[in-house]
Amino acid sequence: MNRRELLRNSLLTLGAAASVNIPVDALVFASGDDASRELARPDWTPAFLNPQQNETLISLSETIIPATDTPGAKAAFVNRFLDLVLSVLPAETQREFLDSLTWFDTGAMARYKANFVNLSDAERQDFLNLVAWPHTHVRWGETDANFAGYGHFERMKRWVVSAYYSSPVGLKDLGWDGWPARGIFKGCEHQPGEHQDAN
Amino acid sequence: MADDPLTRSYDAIVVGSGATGGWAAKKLSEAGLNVALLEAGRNVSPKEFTEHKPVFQLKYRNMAGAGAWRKTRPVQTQCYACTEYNYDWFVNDLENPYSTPADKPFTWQRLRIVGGRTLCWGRQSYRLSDLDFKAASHDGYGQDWPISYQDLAPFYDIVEEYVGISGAAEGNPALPDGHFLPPMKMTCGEVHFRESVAKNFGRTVTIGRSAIITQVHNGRAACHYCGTCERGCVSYSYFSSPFTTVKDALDTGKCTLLTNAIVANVEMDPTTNRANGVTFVDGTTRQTKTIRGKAVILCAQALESTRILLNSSTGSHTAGLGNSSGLLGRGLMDHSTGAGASGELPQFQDTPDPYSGPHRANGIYVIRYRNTSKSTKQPNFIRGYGFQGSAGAVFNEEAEGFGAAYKKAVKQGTYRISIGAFGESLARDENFVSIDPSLKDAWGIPALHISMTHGENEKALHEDAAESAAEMLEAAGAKNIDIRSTVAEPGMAIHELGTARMGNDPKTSVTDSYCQLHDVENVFAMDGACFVSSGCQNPTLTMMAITVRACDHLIDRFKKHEI
Repeated sequence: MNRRELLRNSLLTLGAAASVNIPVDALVFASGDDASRELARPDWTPAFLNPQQNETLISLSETIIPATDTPGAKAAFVNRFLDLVLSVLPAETQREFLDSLTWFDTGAMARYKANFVNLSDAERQDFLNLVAWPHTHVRWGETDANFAGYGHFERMKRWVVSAYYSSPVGLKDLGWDGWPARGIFKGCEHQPGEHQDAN
Repeated sequence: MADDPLTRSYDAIVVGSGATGGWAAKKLSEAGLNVALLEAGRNVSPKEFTEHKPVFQLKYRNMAGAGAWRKTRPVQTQCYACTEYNYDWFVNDLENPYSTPADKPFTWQRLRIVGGRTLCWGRQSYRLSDLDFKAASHDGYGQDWPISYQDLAPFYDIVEEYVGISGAAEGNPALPDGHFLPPMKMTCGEVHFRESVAKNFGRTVTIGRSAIITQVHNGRAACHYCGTCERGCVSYSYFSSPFTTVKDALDTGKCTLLTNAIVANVEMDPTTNRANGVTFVDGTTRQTKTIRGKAVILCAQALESTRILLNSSTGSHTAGLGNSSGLLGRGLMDHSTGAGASGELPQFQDTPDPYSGPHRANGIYVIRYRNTSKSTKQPNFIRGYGFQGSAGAVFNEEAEGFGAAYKKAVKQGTYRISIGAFGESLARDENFVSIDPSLKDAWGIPALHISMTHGENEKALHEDAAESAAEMLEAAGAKNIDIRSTVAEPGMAIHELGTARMGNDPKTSVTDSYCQLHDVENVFAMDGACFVSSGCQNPTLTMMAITVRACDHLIDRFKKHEI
């Protein structure tokens, strides 16, 4: 047994010894209760998005966070989680989300004569490169203006990022290993004065 | 048939089972007194702890706005600690209303459950000094406390030795040292900041003094650094009353715990002018019941204790119990928050590991340095502030762009430093609570009207704090510094203090230095209500020390048959 396992086992024993009767009205999560499993069901259907919106979201989210050496947004069911959350959020929030999502289809149609999902990988890269940076379009005789697409991109990115990095896949990408006990916080182990860059 | 606890008469009735109520129940029952401990909420079980439950297991992953429970807790969700994991520890705002003037919002965070806010408090534990207890003598504002640091120091010792406070001694008179367990470690960026601030400004940056134990202490295990204390702790490594003080009290066999007992008012015997019990609503059956005892000790949280007193008008006590001075409810304080600065420390390149490495639920503390001596006296504000903060590598979800490069940038992270001020909140009598004549809670108990704003002194103090924070970060080599100088809404510090302040003169205070009402010799307000001034330090440690001191005195009076 390694040190982490020892720690974990000692924690479990402590918890068991201390348990008392559970108050009837308490919020208690059943052991192994895992809402993310619902999202992984093969018979999953969207509660909020229509099929086209769902496909656009899968494609857009995977472009923002693609599979690399670790899985991307699609494998993390980012679309499914966002569908669930949006289904219970206020109408105003839902409308803003759909406005931005739809903007990507409209924009793709205008520039590439195809819906976002039907773009080639190169076209998707090209399209997002146009909108992913906070640049302004400045021309002779025109005032500075933020390109409208940047706002839509930022909004969709915020949603996708929050869903991805709270998923099992995203947390694993950040190093999460499922262990509750992490050993002792060691902090700075330099000798006094070793931070020579101290101003 | 089981013995009905209401047919017995108790030596002491303690109202509230949090930080101070737990101590009162422990001290009095260990002294052999019969104690009834009344808690407005239900009991708590370690089975409810969720500190190790990953966020994806929650249906809505605690996303803002999602979850029907939020509709019942619109105020409570303003607290970072009230989440999809543990929301039912917090009060249902619809059942527990209060009012404020339209232009004076106040956010009131409350837990009604055995342990109260000790279940998810911030755990920062600091002593006050005579800069605080004798603040009026230093600058002429308000009143001195009727006690000095020397009076309270032995009780700080008792509380610290029992609770277990990890921290480092600094020898800085503005923040007296205590009996510390080994300190948690600082990150490289924090060590660098500490050295830079000492060298450039002569100020002290120390590791947070925290009620999280770093070694086995009083039968509790050392912190295992999972980092989410506000969701409970399977090893009881942070201090919470149900598993320490309340448990000790119950183990004596002298203490009876009554849960779902929502206290409405103190019962008085008009012939003796002494209290003889309290009336409460049974939250389960909604029946009104009375319990009898020789002393009534309110530890319900500053505003709740004052609410009970204001709702206890009877006979000659026409404007609430203990209000002959007219000051009951006056002088409400809550530390001012909001000012601070954050930035990057690019000279440090660590990789962030909050999900794989140990996670320290503590930070650094910048000890007060304004108005501590003649040389640090400020022209435009009195009193001072301290900073809480941290420095370390964090994931950079704010990185620009998209795709594989973005994913890599998130993991690569950024090294950030941030400090935020907690400023003294002056005791001003125009900040008050009273009973709202037309508002009742779900149990028919008249609710509070809370009227509080932060004043000019708090604003000036926070402007200085913001500037000062940025200067210290800049001197430490921080880049891209953001400065915040707005003062947050009162209540946001969750350090409500005052409204039944202690003092020697019954004309200018509500209780004596042992928390006893001047007007009634067997009723006590032993929580934050008795604070005369707020200092800028997190107040729970001081509240507990005051309670222990007051209980020692009360035990003596019982021994002398004065009660």
